[in-house]
Amino acid sequence: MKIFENEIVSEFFEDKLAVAGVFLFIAFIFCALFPALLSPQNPYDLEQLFLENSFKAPFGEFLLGSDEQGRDILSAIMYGLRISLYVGVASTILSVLIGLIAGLVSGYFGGIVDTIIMRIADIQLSFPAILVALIIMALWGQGVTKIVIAITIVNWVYYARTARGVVLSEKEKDYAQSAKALGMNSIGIMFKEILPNIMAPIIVIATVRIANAIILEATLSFLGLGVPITEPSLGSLIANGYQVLFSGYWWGSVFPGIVLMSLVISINLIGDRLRDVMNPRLKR
Amino acid sequence: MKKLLLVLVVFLLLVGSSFAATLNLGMASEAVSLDPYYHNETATSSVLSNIFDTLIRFDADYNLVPGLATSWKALNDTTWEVKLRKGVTFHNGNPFNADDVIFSFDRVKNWERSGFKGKVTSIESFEKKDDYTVIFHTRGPYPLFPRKVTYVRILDKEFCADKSPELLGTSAMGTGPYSVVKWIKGASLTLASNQSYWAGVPEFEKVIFKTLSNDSTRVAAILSSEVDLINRVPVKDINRIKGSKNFIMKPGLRLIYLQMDHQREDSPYVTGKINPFADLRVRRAVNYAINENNIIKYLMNGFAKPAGQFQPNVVFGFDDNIKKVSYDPAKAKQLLTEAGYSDGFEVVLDAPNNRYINDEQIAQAIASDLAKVKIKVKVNAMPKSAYFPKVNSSDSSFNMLGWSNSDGDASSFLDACVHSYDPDKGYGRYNGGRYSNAEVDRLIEESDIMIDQEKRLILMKKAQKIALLDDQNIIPLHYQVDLYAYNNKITFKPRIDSHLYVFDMNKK
Repeated sequence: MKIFENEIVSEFFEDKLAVAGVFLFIAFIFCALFPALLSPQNPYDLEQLFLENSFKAPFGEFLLGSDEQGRDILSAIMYGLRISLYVGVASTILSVLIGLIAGLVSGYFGGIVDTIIMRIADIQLSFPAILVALIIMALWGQGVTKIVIAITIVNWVYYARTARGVVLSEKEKDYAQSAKALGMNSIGIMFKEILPNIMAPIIVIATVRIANAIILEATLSFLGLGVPITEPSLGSLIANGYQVLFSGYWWGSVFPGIVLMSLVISINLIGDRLRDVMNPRLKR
Repeated sequence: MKKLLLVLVVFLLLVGSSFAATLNLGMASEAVSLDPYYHNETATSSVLSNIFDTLIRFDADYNLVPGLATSWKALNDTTWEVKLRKGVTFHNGNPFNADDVIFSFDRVKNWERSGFKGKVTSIESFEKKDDYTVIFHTRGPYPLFPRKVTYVRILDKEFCADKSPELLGTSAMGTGPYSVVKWIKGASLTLASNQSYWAGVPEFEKVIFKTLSNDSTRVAAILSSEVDLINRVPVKDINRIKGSKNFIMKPGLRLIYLQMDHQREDSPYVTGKINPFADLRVRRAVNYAINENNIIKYLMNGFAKPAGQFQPNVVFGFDDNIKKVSYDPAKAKQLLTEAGYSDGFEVVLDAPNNRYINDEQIAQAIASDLAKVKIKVKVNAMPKSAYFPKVNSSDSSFNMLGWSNSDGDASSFLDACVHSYDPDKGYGRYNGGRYSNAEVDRLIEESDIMIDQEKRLILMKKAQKIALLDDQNIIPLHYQVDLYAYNNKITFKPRIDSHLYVFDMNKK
């Protein structure tokens, strides 16, 4: 049976766990894209919150319970997924773009350009990622856009280093050398010749680091520096629930926590499989 | 083996006895400053009441009792003679006498950052008659003199002479039952007993006020016996604590209310060019739109009393005839439509998140109530250290505040929060909304010099009626209830002013 034309894609789907990961991830994406279709309540809309519904236990009127303000946890999770995924994907795309360009330039030209870019990367890597993000958020204040920028600043380094490493070996190869000999300019060689050949490792890293970015956002929100509770992300939901966790209202933290965990697992399953199928050395 | 056990038992007994004299208090909020004149706020006053004495003070039930003064009497309408206690020393050994009283009153009146100026504006001058007698002259007849004196904690003149204001904010030298050992801002304040205290030796040798502002942490601390007493028991945790610890509630004096910007045409945190709160109908609509009963029932677990006016009924000046308006969103919408805001408006509600019971949650509930009448409220909750400077400097359009009546007289709120902002006269210091009505000002000023208590009451009631009912200067929400939990090692009776006065607590 050959459903997929592409060899990599068909090989990818040979692994059952990866398939489960893909389905789970698609389900999350669907919830995040169309929360209004599925959720019983719009947790952003203060007109729909009633104190009478404060702290309702799960599996009753509210499937996953409600918080202090009468906000439905299930709806809040769906809307929260949207922000968490948005932050994860947007910051990854941005950091891949910046990281790729920096890595290409650094690896291709070498010399002083390479030194400057890589030393900046080294300095940044010597700080824990969470600390860098915390400093940026503390300086700029809260907000979804700001958190995307903060996570991008933290994450571009990983792509830049990987890209540079691959470029260093690729630029010596025959195809690159012959393009140079034919008189192609540097930008052409970098983007037309080398770039397609370094995408595989970058894609693998990007998948894994989406999960990482989502966790970083959740951590920042948990610490109160991410998105405000009026626009809940998974992290701020967990933080909000944590305040009453020990008073017996466990559902506020536990359910968003489970969803965050499942989301990260699904992405990691996909990422792991991608690494296996895209790395020729691991092939049987 | 037996020997070892014996040693262990002896050791434990020794440890036990040396720790028994230490009292650990888990506090929701810490002192802003140790300078007793800097900021009039309950958490600060509560701590300072253990370190400093006042000439006259309140007992637990708000009766005036002698402190550093042994007696006080009015010589005529505007002159009071206060006799001082002899043989009292400050913690550093300096004797207490009339010079310290003169210095203290001078500083509280004239220091530019004094937060208590408004309390003593009517005390015009004071002079030393002899070492243990001080004469006070008031601006006019001043019936509140003994009550106002309770605000002024007495400082040591010699100690303060060469200290900068910054230094006085972190070191304190009083005559009180406890002296400061160490203050680690944000963590703990350690006090040691004053063995030569004039009213007797305090029962606890060491008192540690631990700042545990996180509710869960504070509850965990009392449950694990890390502290002996906590204040502000979170209302949602009461059932957990009831089982193993003593739990006590006391109806408090603190009013929680909403303040609106009356003055500016273009208020900074309202979207649009015109300040909707300048319109009386909008202020009334907000009052009708808030479902206070639900806030009390669901957010406070019933531990609060709905407030319909500036002070609870134990305060002189309470008006039986003023009833809280009932929740009526339809009426609110109608008023908003009349005012031209049928589509509502957007505004930021500033609120503290570590000052009053469930403050941030209340602000969010108000936002959701107001959303139902199309007023879009964005809650901006922040720690009190950032919040109070912001609100007191009027950098806000709409905010949530608390006012604890600290002298049992309605003039406390009227003078500071209702009278027009007038720093020269010491009025309206906390009137951040800058509400102003000349008639109300006149009534307040007149009541402040009225000796006849019956007539005073009429004047104060009239002022409140105009400000609250006719002008809706603020929106009263509820009076807080003080909730404490403590273990079996101590006996404790809460004070009506919410102060934790350790001298009154006993070992069991």
